[in-house]
Amino acid sequence: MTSRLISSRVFLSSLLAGLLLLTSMMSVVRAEQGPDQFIQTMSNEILDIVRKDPALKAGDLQKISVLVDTKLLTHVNFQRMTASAVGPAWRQATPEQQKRLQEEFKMLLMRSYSGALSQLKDNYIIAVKPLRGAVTENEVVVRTEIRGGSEPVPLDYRLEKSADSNAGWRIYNFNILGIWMVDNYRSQFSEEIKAKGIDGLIATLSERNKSNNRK
Amino acid sequence: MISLDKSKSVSGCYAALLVAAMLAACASGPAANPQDPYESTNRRISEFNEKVDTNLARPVAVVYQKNVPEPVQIGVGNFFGNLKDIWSTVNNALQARPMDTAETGLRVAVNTVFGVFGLFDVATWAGLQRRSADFGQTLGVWGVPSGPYLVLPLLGPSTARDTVGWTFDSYYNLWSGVEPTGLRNSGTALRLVHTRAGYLGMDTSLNEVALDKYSFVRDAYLQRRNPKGWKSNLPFDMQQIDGSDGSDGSDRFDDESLSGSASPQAEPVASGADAAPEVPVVIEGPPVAYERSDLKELIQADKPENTQ
Repeated sequence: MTSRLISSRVFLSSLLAGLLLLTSMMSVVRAEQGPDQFIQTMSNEILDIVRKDPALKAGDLQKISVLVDTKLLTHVNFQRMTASAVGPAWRQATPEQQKRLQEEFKMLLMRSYSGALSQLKDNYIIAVKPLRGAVTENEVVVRTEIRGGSEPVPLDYRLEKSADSNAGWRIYNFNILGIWMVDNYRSQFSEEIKAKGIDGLIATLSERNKSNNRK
Repeated sequence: MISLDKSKSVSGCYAALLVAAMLAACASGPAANPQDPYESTNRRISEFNEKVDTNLARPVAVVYQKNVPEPVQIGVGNFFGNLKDIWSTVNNALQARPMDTAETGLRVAVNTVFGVFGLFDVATWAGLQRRSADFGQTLGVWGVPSGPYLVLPLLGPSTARDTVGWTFDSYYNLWSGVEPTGLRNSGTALRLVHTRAGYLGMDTSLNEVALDKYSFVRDAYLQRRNPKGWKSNLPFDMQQIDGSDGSDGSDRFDDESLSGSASPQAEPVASGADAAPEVPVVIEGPPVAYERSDLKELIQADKPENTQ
């Protein structure tokens, strides 16, 4: 099989030429400021912090929670994220219920975040892909890849323009390995709401978070 | 050295068994998710798979990870990864992804030659990333609908389309033609153990983050295997070709079960000014796309109480 693949020198040299061309094309990164720049800066900052503190990788929830609150949540519209996961029933929820839903959902997502941090290796880097089209809209998807493992892991962000935040953009959904996380909770949440109402969902979430913390 | 006849009968038998199992499952309970009509059977098979995993696959993987020297583990992963890359190259080509085809094809060439038959992953070091593709995806790109969600015994989450795809994947896996049988089988076992070992850190957290592990895994699988999502990974702007971005993740709800209780201003149209460029993922039955502006107003209305 191999001998057939590389039967001629011509083939090999064209391969190498192709390789050079490809790698140079792939290293082109956008230089201007924009949502992609914002994601790159944020990712690098978090990667740096995690590299320097082994406790974060070991799953120290206290420290992870500080990291999330100071470095991540300032860039996230968590209210919109929760509303989107809860679905149309969000409209019927009282402000108090909405607040509780956000708290519990945040705890739950923090679990997966700490799981993700534990998988990070020191050589991992985040590569931001070029944006498609001009950034004139209020919403934009920034696509990135975590490189360094056996296969690049796609990690995409959905951003909204925001006057409140320093960066000018806020995240309201993210996609890991082709899975939009907020969307992935939607049917589980709606099942709970259908069966036990909004308070039932809050109770289930808080029960799950409590049992996680006991471990 | 390599003949491709061996695995044919095995996958054929498996497919026949599956059809029989599905027919038997037809009488199962109420279907909540239109894409998962065999939910009760699927749940039972999931439980079975989980038992096999806890009692056999996971313990073996733990032993492998703890006792096999790391360079050997890396070599095993690289070797089978290289074989997989060959089939990925074919599928990338069939899916009309020129960049991915070139990148994966180059990987195979570089790793086979300079990486000693794939034992060393020189290509990644040289900046060539692995772009996996399988035949189930190819069928999806060609427009074959996914069909019902299926949990296969031992193999796990799948759909009707992906089951067909899987039989092709295993048929065209070059390792399935290796002689003698003893070498082939132990190689396959090694590959499976290695793959399972790769997921060791992640499996415990799944139980913690899901409210219902079964539907969490199902929804994730169906999202991941939806061809609309793959377009977002295309290297060039597919939007201009077919007018759709394909990725979802916007604030639109397609859950028809909730549409009855929704507020009256919800209409099945997206507003012109505020509409996202995406087409919502279509689930069977009439989907209701809620106006994004509704949600925004709502969020803005109660901002003072809820800002953190």
